[in-house]
Amino acid sequence: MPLRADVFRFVYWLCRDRALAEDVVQETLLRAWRSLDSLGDEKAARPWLLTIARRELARVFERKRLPIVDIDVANEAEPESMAVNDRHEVEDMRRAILQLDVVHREPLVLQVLLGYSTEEIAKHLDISVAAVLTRLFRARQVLRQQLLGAEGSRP
Amino acid sequence: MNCEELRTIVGAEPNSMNPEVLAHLESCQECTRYRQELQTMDQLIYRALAVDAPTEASTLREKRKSNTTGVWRMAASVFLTVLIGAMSLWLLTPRQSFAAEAIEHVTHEKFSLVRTSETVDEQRLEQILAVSRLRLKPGAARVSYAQSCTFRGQQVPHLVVQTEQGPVTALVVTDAPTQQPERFDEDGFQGEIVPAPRGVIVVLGNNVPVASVAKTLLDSLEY
Repeated sequence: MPLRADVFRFVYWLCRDRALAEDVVQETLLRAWRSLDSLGDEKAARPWLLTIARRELARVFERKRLPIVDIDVANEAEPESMAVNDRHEVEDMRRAILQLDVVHREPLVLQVLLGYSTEEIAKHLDISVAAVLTRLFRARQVLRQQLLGAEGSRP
Repeated sequence: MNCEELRTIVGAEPNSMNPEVLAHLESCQECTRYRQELQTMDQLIYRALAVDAPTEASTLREKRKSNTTGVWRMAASVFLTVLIGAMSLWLLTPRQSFAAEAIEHVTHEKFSLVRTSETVDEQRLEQILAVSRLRLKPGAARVSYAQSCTFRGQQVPHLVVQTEQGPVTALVVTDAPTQQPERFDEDGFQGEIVPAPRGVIVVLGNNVPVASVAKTLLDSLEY
């Protein structure tokens, strides 16, 4: 179910909470089903669902004050089959991404995970292309610095 | 364009095909290394972001576990799961043929369809294929373009192989139902979809024989 997985991952990286992400995905699909008529172009299903999911998550945040996410708990365990070095690398990167400000995290998720172009990200976030480029540049800069630090501190 | 300007652009778009960026990279080894470093980091970012997504069955199991208020919540949960199943099924029903989507994708990256003697750095090719758990035997094909693209909701190696007759595009789609070989001729592109050990390989080009590229990839790709 790649589309459902895409929506789940997008929401997860916004809220950093699996259980909440699952709830938001279900609510998103339910809302999407109800407003299926508003989907003009079937090829646009994914951005359409992501927009609904983003709104739904914002609604949840508005309704209640959510607890602060513990980064170490949020960081997912990697399968044992992954080589140790590989697992460390992915875990370090995941931790670094979780610590990114959502303003920088969201465009990065859209670009790297979901394959959005800069123009598509600008449209999705309703900001200028220049602002998207700045955020993406900053996100990578922070990740790079954090990873260099993580490498240095690992025994 | 100087090095600082290039690093600002590449820092936001490591795979930028901006002609000024490409021109600078041809003459600056340090910036080429910097870009490769960022592209490698992007592969790692992708793997970190691709967390396991719950299946509908696991969602239902979780709902059952946390059910404390009886049958109605269970019934609501089942109803919701059926609804989500129907929704997902509707969204995933193929409305456009594989071939048409492949052509649309290639058209989107048509700048890659050029005759060239240059080939992609082997390390980069290896990284791109590794995202889909693939390896290509060294020297098996002259690959002039390699990207990990989103295609049908998954990361797919998008390669351009140089042949004597011209460039041929190959999309190695590992997460697709294996199907019988299929030929197509649409919108000026001729191609084939061939079954592979995992999923299929789509090869296509403009008036270029593609069968030999499909065979080479099938023989040389390790799944």
